[in-house]
Amino acid sequence: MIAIIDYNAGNLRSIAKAVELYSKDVVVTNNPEIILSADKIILPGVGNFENAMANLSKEDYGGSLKDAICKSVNEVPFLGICLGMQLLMEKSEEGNGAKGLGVIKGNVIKFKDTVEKIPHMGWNNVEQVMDIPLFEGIKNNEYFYFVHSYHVNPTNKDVIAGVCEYGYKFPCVLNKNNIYATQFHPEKSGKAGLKMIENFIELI
Amino acid sequence: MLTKRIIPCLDIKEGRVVKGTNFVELKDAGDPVELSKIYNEQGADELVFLDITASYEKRDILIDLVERTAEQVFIPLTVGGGIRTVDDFRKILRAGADKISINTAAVKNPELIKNASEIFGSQCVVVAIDVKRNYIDKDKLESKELGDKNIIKIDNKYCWFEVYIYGGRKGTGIDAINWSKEVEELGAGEILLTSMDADGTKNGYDIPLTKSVSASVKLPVIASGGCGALEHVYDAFEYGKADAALMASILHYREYTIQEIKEYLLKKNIPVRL
Repeated sequence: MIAIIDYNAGNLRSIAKAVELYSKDVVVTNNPEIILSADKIILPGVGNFENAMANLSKEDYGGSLKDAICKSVNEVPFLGICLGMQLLMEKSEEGNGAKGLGVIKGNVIKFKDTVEKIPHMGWNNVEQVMDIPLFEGIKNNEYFYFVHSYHVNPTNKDVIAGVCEYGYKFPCVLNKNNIYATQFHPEKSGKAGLKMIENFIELI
Repeated sequence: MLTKRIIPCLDIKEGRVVKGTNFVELKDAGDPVELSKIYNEQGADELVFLDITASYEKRDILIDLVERTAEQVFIPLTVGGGIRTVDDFRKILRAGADKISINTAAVKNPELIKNASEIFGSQCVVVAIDVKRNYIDKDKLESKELGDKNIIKIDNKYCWFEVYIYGGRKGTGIDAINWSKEVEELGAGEILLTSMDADGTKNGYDIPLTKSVSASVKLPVIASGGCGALEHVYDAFEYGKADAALMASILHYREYTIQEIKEYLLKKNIPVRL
């Protein structure tokens, strides 16, 4: 079963619909127990970092989503998307240095003022710097859809699998063991994005 | 490299796509879900649905439409029309929209921009600004009545850009450049800038308007209204400094495909996704 984590913000329908193209067994849930029993987990994301962490930390079911994620994140294939990528880091400049899940070392920073427009919004190339299963069948420098004002800044550069250039190069795909994360929205990136979701679903 | 976006706009009335001139004289232009699929295949970078007869009673039609589109089309979808509250935002985002465009509600209640961006993130708050040129006599340029208006000289005439609400029916006396800066401060993620003078005329985007707003904010600006030829799209990007171009009839009536528009732009060195 593939669990898509619902933390009461943003558009979950499009990620669910995209995943359902490749799997019949998809659940959109805010129940930590279901997340703990999932074979794969997707932490989607649009929204505000601090708000999202507050929602993940609520103890509605005798345990929080945050605890469930931290327990499962090293056990099964895990995909963080956009804000879901940023939440994996230790802290963010968005929301007065709010603390994240701390799964990957490093922080989330705002784009430097030198970039022309903020947010970075639209289709941009993803340069593959690591050979990971998520990129299978996707050509190097393919276009994906981005919309964000902050980006991750991992401490250990070995986790960077893809980069994108906007004013300067920033990490846009991370991979650490079974954990994957993308700054862009594969579920909104047409055929290439759907291929990436298919690749994630085929992970063992 | 970040590419310039081509965005088909589907004006929706009671579940059908319509197209008018200067915001009136509506004609039927097809089924929204079918058109969305076609534009997606042609390489549209995003889609915009504007429910131009939005009301609470008809909201269900829109939600159903968004749901059916989101099932089949995996590119960003912006939905606007009659959205007034954070709860409206939530419902339409849940139905599968990625961004919500607000216009009248933003002017009447600017806090909505702030509240929605704090909950859902700036990226999904698009502020749509409908604008009409307001010409002034040269001898009145020093008039105190003009207050903080930004006066622009176009073809030896002077005007300022006035924000209109209620689907272009009511002037607000607000200067569009000042309003753009204010919505940026409040947390908007993007500006959808429509020239009412140009809308439906197919004479080209209002370049001075687009350029003035784009230069005043860091937010991405979508140029809208007046697209009738390939050069118009080029002008919006090259001279208007727009980040995206919205278009309707040129696509709905199959004058050009998105592919053709993009091939043209690429030849003229405008970065687009092909």
